[in-house]
Amino acid sequence: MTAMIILIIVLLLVLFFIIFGWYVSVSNDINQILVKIEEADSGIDVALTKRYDVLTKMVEIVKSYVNYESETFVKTINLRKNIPLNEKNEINKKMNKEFEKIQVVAENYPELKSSENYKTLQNAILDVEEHLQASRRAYNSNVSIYNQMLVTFPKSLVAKSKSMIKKEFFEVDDMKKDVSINL
Amino acid sequence: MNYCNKCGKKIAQNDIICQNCGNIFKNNSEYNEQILEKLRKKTLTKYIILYIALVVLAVVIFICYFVTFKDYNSNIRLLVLITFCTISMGTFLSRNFSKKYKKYYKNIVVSTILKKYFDDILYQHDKGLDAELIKNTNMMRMGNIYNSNDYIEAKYKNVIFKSADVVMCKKDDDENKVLFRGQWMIFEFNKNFKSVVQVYEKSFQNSISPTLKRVILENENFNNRFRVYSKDSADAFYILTPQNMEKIQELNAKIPGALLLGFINNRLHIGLCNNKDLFEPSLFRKINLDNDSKKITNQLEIITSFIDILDLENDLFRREV
Repeated sequence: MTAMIILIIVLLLVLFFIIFGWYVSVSNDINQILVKIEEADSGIDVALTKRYDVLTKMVEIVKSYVNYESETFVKTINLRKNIPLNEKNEINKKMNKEFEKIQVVAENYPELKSSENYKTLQNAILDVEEHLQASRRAYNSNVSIYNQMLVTFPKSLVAKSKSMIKKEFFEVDDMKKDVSINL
Repeated sequence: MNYCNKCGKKIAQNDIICQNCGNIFKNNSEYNEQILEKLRKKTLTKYIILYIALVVLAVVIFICYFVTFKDYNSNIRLLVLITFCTISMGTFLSRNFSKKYKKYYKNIVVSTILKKYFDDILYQHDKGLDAELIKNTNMMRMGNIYNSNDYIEAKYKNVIFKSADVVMCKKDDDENKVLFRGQWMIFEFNKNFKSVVQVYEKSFQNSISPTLKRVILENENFNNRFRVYSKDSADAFYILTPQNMEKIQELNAKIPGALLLGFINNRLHIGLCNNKDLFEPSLFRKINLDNDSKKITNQLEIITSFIDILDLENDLFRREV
């Protein structure tokens, strides 16, 4: 009888350690993916800041050629640390609009369009956009893995115990969804 | 006595290329075909005579032994030993037989086709890529035997590249294994990648355990087929755009062999482990320049496909930032 009890206790202990080991492993996986999401998020911040800087320089160049209204752009975009994702989406949209406006102006002023400074900045902004796209894809890819963990049983049990909630994706601009970027 | 108009060395009257510098004197395809065919037959005859002599010698030894000892069990062992010795001796004695034929074939046939395909070409059939170039990529185990030939340095669609056949083996008491046999290509770009991104087809077993971070991309098919490593995951996403991942898969489906890609500084290293040695002529097939041209052209597509399908001449790789 005693041997039976000892056997049951040993089995329960083994089971406990297996479950505990699995819990720690899944918990570490979730933490690692959260670190990757943070990394990708900071990549988006860097790309957005670069994009803002290049756009500001572009606005300055446009101003030197034509009477261009850009006060609203400079004022409304407030890049600071730890911006929530929805705000980043908004900032990105505003920058898109500003870039479109600049392009329209450049179309009407061939002198501006053909200037070396404008061409350099246009190339720079294309490169920054490629980096932004890469950071966005890295972020969304990691968020997708994370969200899958949250809804897949039995990993979802660990996520619930740690009060994890689903993360939002970084939106693709409507205007860019159908555009295949030619490398 | 004639002299080469390129390097000044003495040449025999019937020579069509300079033995010293590879300069072709008579670039007439019909004449070249005749000369090559004559050389092929001569080389093949040498092989046949050598092997007939060795077989006769082996038979004589075997009969003498059989007549003397009449021991059936020993005879079987002796037969195996004699066959092994005959093949080994044949291989050893004939190792230099086809050298001249290969040299002529590559300098005349291969070189002419390469010149048609590529600009600024340098082709050296007896030289290869420096082992250090591959070693420095830290992409794969090098082993202790390295061999490389058919070195090409050229420009195709404004992309400068180097390519060569490469064989890497590990031979010691415990292991005797071919680690890589195929083509290694290096494409140079104006743009510096600023990071290291490595892509391995999962079927390739001889990569070094990378110190870089594993990156999981959003394309599930791509992830199932390739392993990607990078210093910074954002760089992997930057280089491996959805379109580029599709293109790599397209190449992988089109060209047989395990694929390795390394984006390092301003270079793209591509290894194709396909167990093939390009541009090698066969002694047993009659020379036909038209057919050989087609064959070599098909082999060249291995190189050009990478530039064409991956769109390497395009801005991602050429734009200076």
